[in-house]
Amino acid sequence: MWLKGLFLLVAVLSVLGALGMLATPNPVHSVLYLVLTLFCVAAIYLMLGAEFLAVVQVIVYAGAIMVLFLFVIMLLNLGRDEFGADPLPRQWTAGLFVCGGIAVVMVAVGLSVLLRWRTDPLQLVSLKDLSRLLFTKHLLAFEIASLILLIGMVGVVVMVKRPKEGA
Amino acid sequence: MAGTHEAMAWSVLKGSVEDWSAILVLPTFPLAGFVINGLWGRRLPKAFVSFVACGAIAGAFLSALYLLTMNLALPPSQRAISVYVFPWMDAGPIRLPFTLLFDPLSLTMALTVSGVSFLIHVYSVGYMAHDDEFSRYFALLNLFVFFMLLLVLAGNLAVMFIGWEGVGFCSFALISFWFTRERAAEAGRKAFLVTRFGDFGFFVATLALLAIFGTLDFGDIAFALHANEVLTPWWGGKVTAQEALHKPTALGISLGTLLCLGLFVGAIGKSAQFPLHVWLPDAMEGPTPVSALIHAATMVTAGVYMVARLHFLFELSPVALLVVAVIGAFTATFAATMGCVENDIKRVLAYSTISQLGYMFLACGVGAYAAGIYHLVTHAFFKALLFLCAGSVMHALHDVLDIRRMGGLAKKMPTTATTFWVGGLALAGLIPSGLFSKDAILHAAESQKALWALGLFTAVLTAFYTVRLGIKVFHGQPRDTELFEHAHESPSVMTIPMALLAIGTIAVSILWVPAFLGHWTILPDYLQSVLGETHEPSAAEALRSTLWAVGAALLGVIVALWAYAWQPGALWRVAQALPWLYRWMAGKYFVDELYAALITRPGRCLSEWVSAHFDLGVIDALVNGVGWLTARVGERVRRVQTGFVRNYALYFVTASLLVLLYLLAQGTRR
Amino acid sequence: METGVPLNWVIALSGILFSIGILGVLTKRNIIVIFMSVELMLNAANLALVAFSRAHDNLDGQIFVFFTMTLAAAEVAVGLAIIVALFRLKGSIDVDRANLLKG
Repeated sequence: MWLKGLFLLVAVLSVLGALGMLATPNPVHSVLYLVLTLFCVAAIYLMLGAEFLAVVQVIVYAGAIMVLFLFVIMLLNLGRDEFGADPLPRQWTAGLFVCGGIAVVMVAVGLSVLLRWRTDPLQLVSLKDLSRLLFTKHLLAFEIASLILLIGMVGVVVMVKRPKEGA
Repeated sequence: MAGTHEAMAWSVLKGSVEDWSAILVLPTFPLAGFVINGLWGRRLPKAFVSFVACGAIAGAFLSALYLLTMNLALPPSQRAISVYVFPWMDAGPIRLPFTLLFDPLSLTMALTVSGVSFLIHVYSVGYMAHDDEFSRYFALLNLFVFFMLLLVLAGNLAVMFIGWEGVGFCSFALISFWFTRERAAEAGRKAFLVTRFGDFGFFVATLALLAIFGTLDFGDIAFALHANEVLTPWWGGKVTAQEALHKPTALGISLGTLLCLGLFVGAIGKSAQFPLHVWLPDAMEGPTPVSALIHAATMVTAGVYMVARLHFLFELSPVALLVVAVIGAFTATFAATMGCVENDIKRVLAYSTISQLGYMFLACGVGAYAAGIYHLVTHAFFKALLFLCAGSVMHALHDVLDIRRMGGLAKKMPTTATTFWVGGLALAGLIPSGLFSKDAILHAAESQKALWALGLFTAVLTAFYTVRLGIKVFHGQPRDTELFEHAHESPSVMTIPMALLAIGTIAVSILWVPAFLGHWTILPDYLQSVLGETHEPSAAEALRSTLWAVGAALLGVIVALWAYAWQPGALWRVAQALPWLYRWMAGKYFVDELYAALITRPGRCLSEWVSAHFDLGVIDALVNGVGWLTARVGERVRRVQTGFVRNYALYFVTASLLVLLYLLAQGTRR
Repeated sequence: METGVPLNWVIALSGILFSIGILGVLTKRNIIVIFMSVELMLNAANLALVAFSRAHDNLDGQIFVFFTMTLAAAEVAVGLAIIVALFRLKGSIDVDRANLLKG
């Protein structure tokens, strides 16, 4: 019973974090709001019993990806957004319209989908089962994922290299 | 009517081209000349071009002679052979093979055409020597001879029509040879359009014949009429040939008459008879040898040939024959009167040609087809000769045409003067062969008193204007001393053909000599198998008719001599006394002005209106409109590419929303 | 007694977060914030996956999420490198400046 209430609280918090990310003109503040949202999502993972994922979420997403964002913001020395006149004034209304549509559809679908409610509270998933699955059934994907990470790293280095002077 | 006969035009045998290949060679010579001179003539030296052109015609003439010998070797009843060359049009019930007709009439025409052409080609080498467009001239001239030969050798109306149209085109191209001159270009257009008018009648009549008889072959149609075959014409049912032609149509005119009149309209156009004579005087804008060849000796005679060829059709409609005779006689007189007051040397000869063609149609109209063809042959010689003399005079006087500025040229140009008088007297009907052929026609017309009287009156006028022309140009005092000083005789490349034509004019009289001088009837006997028997008068009758003809001519000569040699200016005073008469005659009876007001100007207004409103307003607007529309649509659609990534993202997302909704709708339907 | 998290609400929340992410992609002018919105969308998807995984009692869903996170990390690295290169070219991170495709 109290789980529902907790969930509601966390959910509202995550939505506020998302909205805050869009509302603020300062990019650093946007990052921080997103971090809030990510933490809330991690909490929800815990409530759903995926504790490994919750931890990975915090470490990788909040800990690495958002930090990377902050590095770039600082590298480019960005302050408050000062862009000048908006060339597309009606984009906001169009966007709200479309997104409203999508939200309505998704929520409607979500609330009407017939799902089995798990009645057992906070059943944690065994890490052993997860890793067994990872290293047997999804081994190829695992290897490819690590390859992608390598390629990504190489790509990034190549892309941000400054051309040699006089080359 | 004189000359009623049993025609044998139906007994045409069928031959294949392997046996009679020479007949195919005949038109191929000038065609080859056209191709060579047309494609490469510009880059070849003038000597080579002239050789090719003249050689082509010489080859045609020699082939014609050879064919003549072959034809004469056949027995008289088997002299008409239809040579099948290839199956040209074969579409269901319509079969129009390409056939050439190897028979006496075709060969007579072919010989005349190629012979006179050859001399004119040689003359042209001298006349056009200083012209830049030398090769184009000869190429067109050869092409003309090709089409003319095709016309006379045709075995069916369809092939004849090719030749008919072809000579019309070449005539147009040669009249407006110097097309940078506005008058020449206009004259060419006028010739083409006026003859087109006639060609329409010819074409409609041809189609009607096809729809009735199912074939256009001359022999087949003649046979169908002779044997009174049963046909299935376009209005269905079965009917005999004679009945078909006697079927009454509007105004009680029988179908046969209508057909013949349609064909005759074509002849009127092509042979410049009234009322479609207006193009021939203007056609004198072309080079003089062209006038000699096309508008005197050959193309204009195509109408006469066509009537003679289809005489078996005309025979069935006395009304049509009467129309032919009346128009012929009327035109003869009408044109002769205009020739009497004309001051342009070539135009006098042009009116003279129209007048003599009238004589030929008169002959055909009264049934004397052989006489008409005889006059055609003799006229080809002396008229071509007269035109070549005119050309020689123009060449000497730097293209001056007005006879009021000439005079006394006989001293400077003796050969030209002599040959001119030979041709002129033949035209007037005072020396053979003109004497014999005109006499034959007048004798045949005696049965129709009114037409005979017109014919005699025309003979008076013919002699008058011929002598008038001769005196004013070659004799008396030179009226323009400047011009006279520089006049000189033409080079021999021009005078030799003229001399040969003069000799030919006289020599050709052996083809048919009047009864009182013996019985030399080579031509009518030869043509008998095609045109039927010709009524040969007794010696006494022949002498009487000849005396009438000669008398009329001498009257004209005397009046002319009086007016121009003995009492110059006398006739002018007569003309002053009757100013309205003179004005009418000199103004060509205002026929041109009438046509301009009734036809040309309204036609021009209509085309200008259509061009401005329909062509520009509708069609151009439509086409330009498509372009304009494309540009406008493009301009609008281009705004989709704003360059802003946010817009593109919006497009994606909107689309995916729509897909989502669609899937939702699909899902809930189940 | 119903004591678990109502999974329908989780899906609904995922939808809301997803559409907020789309709103951010469509309307913000700062490239970095747009990119962060994309990350938000990814997270929303992950959330839905975990919910379904729990609903069907199937661990494959969670493995999927694991891989998604890995790829998201790689993608962010490369994406930010591109943004840096773009900044060097244009001198600004306003996405509206990148309009060379204007027709």
